[in-house]
Amino acid sequence: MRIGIDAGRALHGFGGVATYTRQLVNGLARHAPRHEIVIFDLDRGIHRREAFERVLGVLPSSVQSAKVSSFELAGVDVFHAPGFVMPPPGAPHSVFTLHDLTVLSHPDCHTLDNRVRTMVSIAEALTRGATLIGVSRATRAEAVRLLSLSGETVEVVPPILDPRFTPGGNDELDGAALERLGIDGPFCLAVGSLEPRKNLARLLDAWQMLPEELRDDHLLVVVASAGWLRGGLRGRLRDLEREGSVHMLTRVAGLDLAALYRRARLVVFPSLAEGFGLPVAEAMACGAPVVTSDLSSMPEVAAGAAVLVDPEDADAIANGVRRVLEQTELRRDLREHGPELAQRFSAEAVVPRLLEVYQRAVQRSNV
Amino acid sequence: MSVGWLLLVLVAAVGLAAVFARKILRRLRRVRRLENSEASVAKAVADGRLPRATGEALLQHLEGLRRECSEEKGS
Repeated sequence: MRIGIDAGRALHGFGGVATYTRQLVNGLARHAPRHEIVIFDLDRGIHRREAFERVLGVLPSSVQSAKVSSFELAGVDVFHAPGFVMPPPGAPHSVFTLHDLTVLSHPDCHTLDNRVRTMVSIAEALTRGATLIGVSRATRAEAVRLLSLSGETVEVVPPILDPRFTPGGNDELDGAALERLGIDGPFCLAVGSLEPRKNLARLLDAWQMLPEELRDDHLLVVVASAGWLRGGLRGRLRDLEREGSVHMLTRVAGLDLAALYRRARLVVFPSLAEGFGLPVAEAMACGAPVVTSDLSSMPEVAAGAAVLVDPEDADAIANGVRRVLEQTELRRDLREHGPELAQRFSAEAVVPRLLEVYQRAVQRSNV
Repeated sequence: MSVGWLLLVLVAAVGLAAVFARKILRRLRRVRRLENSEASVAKAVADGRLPRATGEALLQHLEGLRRECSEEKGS
């Protein structure tokens, strides 16, 4: 099979969609060697193998890149659109990843521009008969609820996790990474962009509710990319950073992020809604105890290996964090089970399911 | 008023007009995208390529967004 993928988002973005796309290409390149992969940049239309290689790593010969203008010549059997951008008309049957439907369920958490762009591309995918991939059962349920789709029209295939997220890191390298990132001593970790849906403001409220001795003993490290509709969040984070209770980091990825997950006393992710919740899975893969929301896709991803809290209640978040920090046995239990459960999101587990979806899409287009 | 001041006022006025024009253009572009999308959905329902219930749900969301864009103040 010749599989076309729009890898443009991996080049231009830094959030969940970019990570999803990078791991999609890497996972297929490593675990589907019998198939050919052709990568495109639909955003810019140009061919830049070097740029792809810089971001995606060394690409095997089964991966080629092509210009969008030579789309039809590339002769792909199926096209995967992982970044909310449909390929130009004339493309073969498309597979469209539905990352979430929070533009509909939580419109206040998105800019109008973002909502228009997302809804127009979802409508385009549906009118052109694309095969839909939902990244979790929760996302599929949202598609059924909000778009009146029948459940069987959405295939559930989770994202592939970066294989560097493992519990057994190199102590020396992890220590060096933490030193480079300016972290010294025990810390709790929050990962996500600065946007209302990630609920960072309430997490800061919760952090300030913790008993003083816990706050004195632990730093809250926040890894956050820019985001939108930030309100006064950035200023508040700066104030807390000056006080010494919060340490802000931006654009941490790969081995450095894995080191943070491995060394964190816990990872807290009280998002209001997710399509999947990558930080939950990444933290579990690295053996970090997780405190996350009891709604949306997060219980499904955590599969019992996390402490679940009501994300709308700062008290509940604080209690969850406190429980994990104070109960050594609970922490040990979460550290033990996380990596095993995160195997569901390894390339070995996900790629065969993706190939099945692609195969069915090709069969559909031949009917 | 000196020529320097006049130039400054002129540059500021042109700048403001450009920002305003850009916002209006952006709004119009959004509305046009949504209208095109609504037309495609309606056609897909009529052709039987899209289930009626899904088409209606999509149209409802797209129309809602279009109204929001049309009523949007200053952005």
